[in-house]
Amino acid sequence: MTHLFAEDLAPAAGTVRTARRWLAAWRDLPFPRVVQVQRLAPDGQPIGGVQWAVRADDYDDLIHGRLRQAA
Amino acid sequence: MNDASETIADCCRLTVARVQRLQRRALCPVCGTEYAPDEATAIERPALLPAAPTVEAPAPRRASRLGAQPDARVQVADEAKLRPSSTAPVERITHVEGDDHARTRRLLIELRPDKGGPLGWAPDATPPKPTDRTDDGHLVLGALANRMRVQTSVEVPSILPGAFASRAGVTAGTAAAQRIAAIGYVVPEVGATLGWLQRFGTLAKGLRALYSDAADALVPDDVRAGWKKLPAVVQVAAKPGYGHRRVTEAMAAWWGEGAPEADRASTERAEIGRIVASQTGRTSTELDAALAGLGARLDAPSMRCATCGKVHHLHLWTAEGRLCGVCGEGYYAAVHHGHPEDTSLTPEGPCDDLTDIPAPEPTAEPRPDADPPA
Repeated sequence: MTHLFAEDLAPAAGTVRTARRWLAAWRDLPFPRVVQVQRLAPDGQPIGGVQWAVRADDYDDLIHGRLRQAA
Repeated sequence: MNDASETIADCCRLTVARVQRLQRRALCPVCGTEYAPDEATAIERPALLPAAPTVEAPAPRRASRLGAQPDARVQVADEAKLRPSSTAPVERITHVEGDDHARTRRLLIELRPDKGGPLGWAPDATPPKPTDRTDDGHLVLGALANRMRVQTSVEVPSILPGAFASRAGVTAGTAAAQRIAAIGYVVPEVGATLGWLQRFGTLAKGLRALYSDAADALVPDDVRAGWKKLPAVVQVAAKPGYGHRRVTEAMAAWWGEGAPEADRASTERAEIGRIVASQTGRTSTELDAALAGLGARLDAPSMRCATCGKVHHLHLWTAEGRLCGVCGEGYYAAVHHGHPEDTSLTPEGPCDDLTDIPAPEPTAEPRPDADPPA
């Protein structure tokens, strides 16, 4: 999994709504990188539209306290 | 004659009522007072029977409960006592537990199999319930007898006291503790998480509070220092995210979940391998071959002994560490030297003469379930 959606962050955030707020607040930051990703069905087919998601490696650095500067 | 109803004597009531109804002059047979129809009509109609008790008219049925006064005999549902079926559907939907919540509760329950025991562990932090007292604090009949065992005779009991001694120390709580110790032996971080969850984990304040508490207790100092350097909007996610990661890893290790390549250090298989090795006396190489034939590969990190130069596979080690009583050197599993009958092993600390070596290549025998090469 290369990207984490708000639903993936919901257990730590408490609610999906809070996770979306996190992503919205991180959009303007250089770290962690939040990008728009195509929405996919469970079978991998695109179902239309995009969704905000944080890069999984950036999130891993975030929770381990590794601040990565923007390239 | 009589101008008010309150002046009418009790004996005249029937007479007045008769005059009012028949409009004829009549005499009271008791006191002899005569009543004319016009006089009797002016008198308020007397009550012939005792007045009935006043019955309040029933309140009209209303569609809303707003403003209704609760009857003292009826327990009225309010916000605090609403049944689940009375709550609005949207409100119910928002309180559905997530998968993480259910899995965490299951993990806490499995980590504390002796819930209700002396430690009183419970996932929701409910206080322990004493088994010898009722809810109102009174001693249950026979509780004192259960606490004290008085020998009143010298006859030999039909069941000897040591009949079940071999099972005495094996309880569900002991098994959970041994399993945590086994996992912590292979992956110390996961063992620490499981140990913390067993002792302090609670869902009383919710899942996110559990994650934050776990992160507070388990985070290394360098990670904590790194959190302080993060921007504030990012920092709020670091602690619960770290706790979530640790708890998720602990759940995966506890239930042996994960990708197939992740179970190479499966503690269950390590424990099975250790038991099989100690019971059969087979060497680690033979055991690896047997397990490879079953499709169960153990890729636990192996170490080479600097004393004898032989390879020790981690899953063949005893968790406590033992000193071989035959050669007296190193830190070996008995099966490695082929001394399964040796009972003179003594617990010792880890040997410093062990160095890491790469894990053995498991490709000597292909797995039965592996796909054939293209």
